Amino acid sequence: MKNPITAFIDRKLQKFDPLWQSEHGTGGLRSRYYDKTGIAKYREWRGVHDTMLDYASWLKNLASMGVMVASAPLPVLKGIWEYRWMGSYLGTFAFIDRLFEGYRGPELKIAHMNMHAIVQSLTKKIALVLSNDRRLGGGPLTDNMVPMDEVLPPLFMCGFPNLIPIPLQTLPEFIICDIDQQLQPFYIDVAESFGLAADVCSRCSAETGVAFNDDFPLIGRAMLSTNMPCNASEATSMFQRRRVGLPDFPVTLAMIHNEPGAHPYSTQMLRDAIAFIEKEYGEKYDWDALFARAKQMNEQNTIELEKWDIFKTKYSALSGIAETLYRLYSWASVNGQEDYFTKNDRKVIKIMRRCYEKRHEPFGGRTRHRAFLWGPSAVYYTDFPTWTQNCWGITIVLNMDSTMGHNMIDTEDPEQAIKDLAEFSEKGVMRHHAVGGWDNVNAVWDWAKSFNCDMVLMNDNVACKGMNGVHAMMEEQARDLGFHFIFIEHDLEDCRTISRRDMRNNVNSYMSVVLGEEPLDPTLVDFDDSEAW
Amino acid sequence: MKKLCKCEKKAAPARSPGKVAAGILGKLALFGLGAFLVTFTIYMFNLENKLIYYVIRPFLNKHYDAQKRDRRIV
Repeated sequence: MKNPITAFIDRKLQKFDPLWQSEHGTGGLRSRYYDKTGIAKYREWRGVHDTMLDYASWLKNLASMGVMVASAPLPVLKGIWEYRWMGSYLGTFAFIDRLFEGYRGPELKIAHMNMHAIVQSLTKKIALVLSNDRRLGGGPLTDNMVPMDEVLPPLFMCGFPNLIPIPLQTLPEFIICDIDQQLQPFYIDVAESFGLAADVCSRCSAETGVAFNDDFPLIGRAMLSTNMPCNASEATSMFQRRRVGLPDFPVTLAMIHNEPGAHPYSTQMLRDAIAFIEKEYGEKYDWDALFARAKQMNEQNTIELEKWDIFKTKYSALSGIAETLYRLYSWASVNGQEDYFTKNDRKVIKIMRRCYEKRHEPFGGRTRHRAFLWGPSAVYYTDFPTWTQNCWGITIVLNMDSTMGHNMIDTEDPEQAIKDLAEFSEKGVMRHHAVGGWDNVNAVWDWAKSFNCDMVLMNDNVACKGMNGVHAMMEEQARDLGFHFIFIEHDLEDCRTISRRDMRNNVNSYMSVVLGEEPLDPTLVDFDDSEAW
Repeated sequence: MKKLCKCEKKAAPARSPGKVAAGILGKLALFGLGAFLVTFTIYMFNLENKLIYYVIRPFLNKHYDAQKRDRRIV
């Protein structure tokens, strides 16, 4: 029951609530922004309870950043001075605001719980890496770190309890592009200034630029690279291994992994990677240490599967970017290594069960369409699902990346465990769908049907040669199967080619011309955020 | 009778533990209220983001643009 005092205040101040404004034609979620910059004049008024919840979450994230600086003041300051990408992390607060615009009640609570899990983990990781970066003076753990490609799930490395696997590209390239759309064009330009082609995947180009510009932290004694079967990805792996200059083992997992014959190959590849690390780091693989972390990952995946059951209904308090970003980080980067995420999952599923039992409809019941988001999303427009919800009432039920490896890992028998790990790793970020063969791309229709979606938003990375080849086939199938289908053109990490505004216009055109619908919030239909982080 | 010098202060009567605790709690509450007012003002008016966007990032970007990096392929 609502407190009568806060209910009274909410009534008095409701004219400042942008959701109320959009319903009454007096403004909306975009009204409080300065033009182009994406900087808000003031924060969103969400009613007393939700504003205080948002404020408390802001304080918690601020505290995590304070702890990061306090735990390694000199390395963090040196890092900000040394690395261009470190400066971009200062945009984190604005980033979180963008992600959860228009969120209220349990949706907001879960979103902040998930986001804080990421912030507390990422801040610790930044402090750890900078404190041990040879470029900044090194530290006691410099030689115990294992830089590895970020699309390689690090769970199997937990069998080396004295070593710390660090996804090398995550800090300077991937996560930071979510926060600041202006950063990666700089690194892309660096790569292209050496004569590299400008029509390749911008993610690979940006990673290459980071390497050429000498902006990777210097850690570890040997590295693990991996394979992705596209020209740009192969190229960036080679450029990085040459520039980083450490002994390297390419963990080339099977790409077309639906065929049974592929698994023994990937299993042997993991064994060879383990042998390489044992040799280079002088450590013995400890299966019990692996089993301990695999149990955490198994529990997270068990909870994830229960979440999926709730996603299939219209009573899920978790959806959109609060789901996508968390799953992406907790799977690809944490991958069972941190207990915090298991504890967080336990709390979140409890709230989700409660909301389901109460038949709570998220976003005030304003959802009109349930969409499956397929294909690699634009990293520079992370809050796109928030926009689709707020502007057109399109809720992103699940994202392709969230369907990554969810098979359980055996926690008793090393022989079975390594086989399970191989299958788990084959279904890594992008590896499974975008480059894992036609059947995995085409699985979108089964996923969308099973999650009761009426719409598929197909991310169209214009520089991805592989996915460009399936355009017409996807459109034909959408028509045959009766799904609303929108191609969202983007250039993954380069906001100059296709801006956020252009991406929004893909949806605007379809919703207004094809479906003839009116926006929920007219202030969100067309605006300029070209100078925003 | 000896007069008290002006500079000598009378010993304050001993305060009861309850009063001491109430004083400390009062000061803590005052500090908490002040901290809340300051941080909530920063939060509500988005002051930290304005400072970063308009002051800190332009300053840092100038520094990054002036940096000499070891830019090469291998």
